[in-house]
Amino acid sequence: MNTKEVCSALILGIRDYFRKNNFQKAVVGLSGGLDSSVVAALVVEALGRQNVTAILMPDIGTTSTKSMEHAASLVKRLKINHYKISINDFVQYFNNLNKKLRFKKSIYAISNVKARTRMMILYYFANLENALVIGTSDKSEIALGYTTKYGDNAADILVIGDLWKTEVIEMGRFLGIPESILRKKPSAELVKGITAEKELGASYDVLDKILKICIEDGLSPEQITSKGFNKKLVSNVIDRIRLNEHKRRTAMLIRVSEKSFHGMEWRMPITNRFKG
Amino acid sequence: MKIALAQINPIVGGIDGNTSKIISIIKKTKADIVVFPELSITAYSPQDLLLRHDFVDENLTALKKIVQSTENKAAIVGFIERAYDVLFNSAAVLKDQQIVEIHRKICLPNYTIFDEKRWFKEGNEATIFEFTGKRIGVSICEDIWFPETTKKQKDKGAELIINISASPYRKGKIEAIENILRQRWEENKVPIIYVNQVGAQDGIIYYGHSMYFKDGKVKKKCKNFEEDILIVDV
Repeated sequence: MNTKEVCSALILGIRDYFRKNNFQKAVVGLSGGLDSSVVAALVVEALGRQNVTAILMPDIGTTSTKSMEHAASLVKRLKINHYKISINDFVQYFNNLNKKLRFKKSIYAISNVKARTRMMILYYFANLENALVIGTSDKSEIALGYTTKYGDNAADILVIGDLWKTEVIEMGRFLGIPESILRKKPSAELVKGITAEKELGASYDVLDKILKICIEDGLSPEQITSKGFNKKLVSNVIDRIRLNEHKRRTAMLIRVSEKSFHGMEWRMPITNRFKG
Repeated sequence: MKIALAQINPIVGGIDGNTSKIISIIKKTKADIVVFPELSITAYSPQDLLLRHDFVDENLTALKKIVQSTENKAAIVGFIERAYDVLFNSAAVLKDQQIVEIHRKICLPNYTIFDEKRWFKEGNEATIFEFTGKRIGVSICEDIWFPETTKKQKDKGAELIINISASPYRKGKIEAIENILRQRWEENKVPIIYVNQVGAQDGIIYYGHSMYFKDGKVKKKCKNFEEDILIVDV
């Protein structure tokens, strides 16, 4: 990857979206991980540090001390305004609700509450500052559906949504993000001690290779397996891509008119100055 | 002959602003022809705005204004042409307040992010025009990615090709367009002026890199990812 060139493209993409839609300010959730660090650095480069607010949203007891240290050091490095808001009270509300309704405890549902709470906080700040929310999902996560729908995948712009995880590391290195952040094992930190690679069944080095061959080269599962990848892993990856299509869309609209807002029919630009 | 490569960053639907920018550049640039990118009046891509009659009308009114600004001047601008109730993705050659030639895009891309056949009909004429004794071929974006149009223009006597584009970025794309222009050069030995849109539209990045290609290499080029005006002597 020509990192410098791609970096210029991403910066122009951010800058023009803001400028052409009359926004100046951005809000980004900073976890201390790779993706949000790279995204914050890119947004600062595109909009200027005075226009970027970082929100650190630890889940005390689950978020590692290291993550918070990394997030704090990045904020200092980028010289950006920041707020630290714990999500525990919000999560506790749902835990209590669960008990009250006598529902079985669901780590899955509570994990999504955590991601969606963070989304609400980000949009709260965005509304206060007339800012846009910057998403931090990368292409590998989007492909695998390794995101919470309307949680961490809810944003106004996905800055690194077309960079594989391994390319995000390259971009981070180009932007001078500390190696301690770049080399850290990726984790959503929704459940203590669980890394992304443990959940997904392989390292991102391997996953990215499979994803790239599958999505960009369009090879069949058999063809991918024949390149030396584990058959079960390939099958899992392909299942994930297929089953998570809904996460890459907004809600499915049922069409009954001649002119609907169905995505296959309504193709209006977002950036649009025509007032006719 | 001096040709200005006006690599602008227009805003989709911002017809007034884009038109003012085009007119201002035509007026202040000291060149024989000022060349703007594909669909420069509306910016690329207006998508389903193209289905709106009033949008196309406004673009045609803007074209008339630009035509009026070419007193003792010449320019090439990209616009939406309406004819026989269909739309063409066209380039107008303007000189001394007249439209002297129109090229309708022949190769309409309809893959990856492109869906031009949803809105436009293909042109079928490899256009050339004469300017101060020089025969010049005009083409639009995808027309230059395949050999036929340039070859036909060369056969009609073109001594220079001007291609106006709105070519989106992807990794490796800048090398790819240089290779394409090299191939066209090798096939025809005719110099090429390539003027690309720059800027971002809803996550699609237009890289710029407008250039003058001659003798198998890039002679001069605009900056990548920013507005630029380059004047070349051909």
